[in-house]
Amino acid sequence: MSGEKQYKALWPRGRKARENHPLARRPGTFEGLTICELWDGLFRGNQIFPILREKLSERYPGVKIIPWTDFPRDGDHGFPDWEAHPDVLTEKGCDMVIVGTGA
Amino acid sequence: MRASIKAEKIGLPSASLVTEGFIDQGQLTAEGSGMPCLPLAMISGHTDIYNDEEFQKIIETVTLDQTIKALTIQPEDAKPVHEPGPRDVVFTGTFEEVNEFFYGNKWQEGIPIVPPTMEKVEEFLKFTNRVADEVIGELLPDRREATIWNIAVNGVMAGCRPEYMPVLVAIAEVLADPRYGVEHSSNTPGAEELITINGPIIKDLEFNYTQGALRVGFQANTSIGRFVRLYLRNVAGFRPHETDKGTFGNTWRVVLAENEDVLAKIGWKPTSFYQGFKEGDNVVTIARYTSGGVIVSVFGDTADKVLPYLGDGLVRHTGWELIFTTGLPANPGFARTQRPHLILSPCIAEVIAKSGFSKKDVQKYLYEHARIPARRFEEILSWMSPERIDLCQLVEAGIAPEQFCESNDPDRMVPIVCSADDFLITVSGDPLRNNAYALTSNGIFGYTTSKKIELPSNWEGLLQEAWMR
Repeated sequence: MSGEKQYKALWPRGRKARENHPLARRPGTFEGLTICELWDGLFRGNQIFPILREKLSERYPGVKIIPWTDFPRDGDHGFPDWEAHPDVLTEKGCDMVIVGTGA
Repeated sequence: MRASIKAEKIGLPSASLVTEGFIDQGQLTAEGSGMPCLPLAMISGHTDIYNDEEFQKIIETVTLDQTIKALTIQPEDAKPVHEPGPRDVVFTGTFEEVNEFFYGNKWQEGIPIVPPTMEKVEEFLKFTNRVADEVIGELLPDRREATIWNIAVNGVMAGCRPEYMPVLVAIAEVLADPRYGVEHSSNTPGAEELITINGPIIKDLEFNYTQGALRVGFQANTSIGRFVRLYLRNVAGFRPHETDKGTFGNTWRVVLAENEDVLAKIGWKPTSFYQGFKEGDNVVTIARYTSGGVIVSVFGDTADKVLPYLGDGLVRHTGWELIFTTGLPANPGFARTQRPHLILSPCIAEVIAKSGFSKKDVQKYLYEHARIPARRFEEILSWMSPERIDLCQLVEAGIAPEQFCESNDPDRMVPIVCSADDFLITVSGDPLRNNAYALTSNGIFGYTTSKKIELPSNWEGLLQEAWMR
């Protein structure tokens, strides 16, 4: 150790405020299930979702897909206002969701 | 991402579509939201640079399979991560060694910090009546607790003096206010925070409010400006190449202090007054600004002569940010959040005041005259939207205010804000030069938010002691 002054430096961060939440259980299949689309209006979701819709329907004929246009888009970022429509996903019968677009 | 988390919490599997450059950020944001293994489906490259054929191929060959996997295969559970406690000494060494260690852990930004020792932190804590462990809020994306303690630690690191602590606490309170939207501090335009300060504390702490008001070189302005970026890095969790996605970014701004001597002379109110505070209150106001530019040599001896140039300057510095004025069909929440900031050097303010104008009158003038043709406004919005934007349709949809569709004439002049009150006006800078500065805001992503600075009991005595050091 040199003769220079030694500093005992403290941790500059903060405790993580939340415990982890478990992810939803994946069903392993699309058969008989309903996929819902949620789009924030950005980054070509209007093109991405129709492609995914077409290809998923081809591969999994038993799947039902509800397009993003069927959901209210009155929240801050083009998604539903969750306070105004807290149960919109379950009311529509969604079993899973595809959300776009992060960029 | 937030919609995916919402779905997962009610038991619905999600697939989040994310472009390649944002995968790391997406994973870290998910981790901060308590779902570290949230599955993402990648879009190679960036969506905006492909023709339709190229784009279809990428979605079919990359994104489709990742979407299927995300929805059907259960991700592994996250492993617990051990982190130090708030008061833990994480390293002991020389000044240089501490800085190497902090840089290696991404806890400083590439220039030396003052080592945050217990002794230094305790000096800062003397300048607040608040309890060190008090949690002010949770800052995204890491969702870490903002506490009086870690404010002091980062204040030490930034090179602040202990007596700046009341200002630092007020700044952290703004960052923790949901209206401010700290979670967007990394968005790609790379907007940067500007803190505006009002009140007697400007003189108490010797902020520069004259020539070079936005230049480094004055400890209060400079070190407190640095504190914000350090706090965003260490507590909120914004780091370049990870969660900070500014395409270019900017360096932090120094604190802007208003020249309240000139305000008193010309009878104008401080910026904080228009944010709902009393004259004489010590207040910080923070907003994120995408750009700023100087309006040089504002010639004239009356308000009528100088205001048109200032209005034109504000218009010229406002482009894509108009999405925060009227919103877009898919983003109604953007509307009514554009708040440009005009900084006037004292001699311009004096010319305007001499003509009998108050700040309120200047706001009204700018609202009525800083305008652009509706067709130009629509053209700018349409560049960023998959559909052609029509202002009248935005009004009909209840997104934009009615004044944006007073007729169908494409050449009608429309304002760049929704209300005269949306303009912030601050007097600062060289008292003897007739220049102004226009800043365009980042709207909802760092919305103009103010907090009163709480002084500790015996502020005067503590200051005296500080000056004697």
